[in-house]
Parts: sequence; structure tokens; C-alpha cells
Amino acid sequence: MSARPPAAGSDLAGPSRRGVSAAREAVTLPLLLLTAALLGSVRVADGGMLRFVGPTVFSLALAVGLGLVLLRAGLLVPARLVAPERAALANANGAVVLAALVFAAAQIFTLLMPESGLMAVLFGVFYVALLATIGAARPDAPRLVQSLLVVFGTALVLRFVVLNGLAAPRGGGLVRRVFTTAVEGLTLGALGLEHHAPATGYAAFLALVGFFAGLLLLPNDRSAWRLLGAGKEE
Amino acid sequence: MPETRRDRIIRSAGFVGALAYAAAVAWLLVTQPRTVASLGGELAASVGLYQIDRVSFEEGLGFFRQDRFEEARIAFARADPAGRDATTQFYVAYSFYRQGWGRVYNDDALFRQGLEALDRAVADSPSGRVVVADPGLGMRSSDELRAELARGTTREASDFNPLRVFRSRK
Repeated sequence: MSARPPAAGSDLAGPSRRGVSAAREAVTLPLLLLTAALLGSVRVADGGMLRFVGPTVFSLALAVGLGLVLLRAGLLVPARLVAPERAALANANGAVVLAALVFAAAQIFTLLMPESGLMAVLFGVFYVALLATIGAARPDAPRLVQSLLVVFGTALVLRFVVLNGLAAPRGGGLVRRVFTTAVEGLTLGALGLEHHAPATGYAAFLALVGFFAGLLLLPNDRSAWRLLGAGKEE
Repeated sequence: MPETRRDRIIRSAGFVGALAYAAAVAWLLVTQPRTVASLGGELAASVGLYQIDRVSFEEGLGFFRQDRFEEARIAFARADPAGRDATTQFYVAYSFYRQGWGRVYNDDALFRQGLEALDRAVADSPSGRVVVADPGLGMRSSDELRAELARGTTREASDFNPLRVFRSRK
């Protein structure tokens, strides 16, 4: 006997098909998302000086855009977090998860975007185009997660390996030498690059891991492995 | 499926914990501690437990009175690693003033650093004003020191008064 697929909106009517434990909703998800937000705010300068960068208005707008894309893909099902059938405390936990998700997404966008200069504009345009494209394509949840992994992973490498290498003071690394040789005569000042100590890159990597772990654990109809394209639904 | 008592406890604890964690993240974004040491200092200051290292402070004061200002600032930095003590930061600002003061001209860069330290001192003081009862100081309040530092960094007609060379350091 084959199982009937769940009716559209069945998650609104009763208990979810794949129930999320109270611990996951109240503890694990907020912990992961807020940790991602915290790590995403850390900038370490070469001298070991710390700086905590909050979300910009633009990155908050991008985060809301990402939330809408997650919603359309079925990765984020708000009714499983906040709904009239749920107890007040459960709704409070759900609201915390939603707020933490938007905050973490805003911090991730702030992290993966240079703070000023030409590169900040280019990255901003790129993220807006990316969200518009994904919104128009309406991918399903697994494809969305996998494409976000590729995009954010690439942005991480670009920001903290390539651009950080270009902004390296005095000599810099291989990236800077290759780039400056290739574009002889171009000064890097207009690009508005800032250099960070390697610790910032590691914190950024961990922030992305936390953010994606949070995305994969959001209550929806698919398992985390299925969202990653590994394993099948039972 | 109705939630058990254990679930309700987890949800309550998770809610409170998440709010506390979010508040801690917001606090970091607002206070902007610059080093791991100042992170601890900010945290201790926020719950009223921050204390300076008195031995290093006295050592810094000794250097300050001997006009060894760089040594004094190193000792003051050791005494107040988080920069949260109003009196210590006042002395740091004063050391920049005395080091930067010149009979003919002042060192603008040092005076500006003095103003920055004075800003920290005032921010650390609940009354928004720092008064130090030290008879060895010509200026005992943050207001007097700020005015003197600000005057030193501006260009005005009195800067060209030859009688300036007869003024004395406070």
C-alpha cells in the first residue's frame, strides 16, 4: 500500500507529519541561529583587535527577501512555528526561531559583503539578482538549500580568501601578486577592500555552518539529509 | 499529541535562554569590546564587579609624576585593561596633555589621543564628569582638561601671540 502524499496545507490542520521536538524548536534552533549571528558579527584585525559588526539596513532587507524565498520553496513553514492551534509558549518559541532566522540571515549577508567601496555595491547587486532569480525559478527545498550552499560558499571564498588576499598589507599573498600583475596600472584603493586576520575567515566559516545547520533543522516535510540531496524519504 | 510537562519545561527554559543569548549578542554589538580582555572587563563592569589593578595604577601614577608618560600609560593600561575606570582614563588623558604640551606649539596628535581617552573617562563616569582630587594637577576636572585639549588642537589668533612662550604647563 502506498502512502498518500500529504495534502497541501496539511501542516496547518494538525500535528506535523515530521514532528519537531520541543528541544529542537526551543533550544537547538535558536542556539544555532544566534551563534551564527554572533560569529557572523566578529571581525578580527591583524593586531588582534576585535570588532562586532551589526546588520545593515540593506542586509536586513536581503534577509527578509531570503525568508520569502525559503517560504516559497517550502523550507520555512511558519505555520509550524507560530499558529493558533499551538500553545502560547510553543508560539513564543516559534517566534524566537523566526526572529533568529532573519537576524542570522542578515548577519550572514553583512558578513559576506565588503563594508564599503565598489565591491560592496557589486556584491549587493549580485545578492539582489540572486534572490530575484531564485524567487522567479521557484526551486523546491532541496535544490534551494544546495544552491544557497554553493552561492554562500563561493561568496565566503571570494570575500575571505580572494579579496582578503588582495587587501593584505605589505606584499600580500599569491592572490594579490597575480591580480596586480594581471591588471597592471589599476590601483586597489577604489575597490574599498578591508583586510581581516585569518580568525575572521574561520569565524565566518563556522557562522555559515551554524546558519545552514539551522536551515536544515527548520520544521518542514523533509529530513536534513534529504535537503542536502543525500538519502531518501522513508 | 499533547505536550508533556518535560516539554513545557524545555520550552520555558529555551525561551528564557534564547532571549538572554540574544540580549548578550545585542550587548556585544552595542558595547563593542575591542579585545578579549576588554570583553571580560565590559562584562564585569555591566554587573558592577569591575576593579582596576591598584598596584599597576600606583605604579603608573609614579611614572606620571616623574613625567615618564609612555611608561605611565603602559602601567595604566595594565591597571585598566578594559578602559572602564574613569579616574585611570582621566590620568591617561592627562598624560597625553602633558606629553603633548609645548611652550611654542602643542603636539596635535597626542592632544587628540588625550581627547579620546577623556571621552572614555567621561563615558565611564555615572555623572558624566570626572573630578580627581590630586594637588599635583593643574586641572582637576574633565571639563577643564577637555577645554585645554580642545584649545590645543585649534588654530586661533592667540596662537601667534609671542607672550605664549611664558605660559606654563598645568
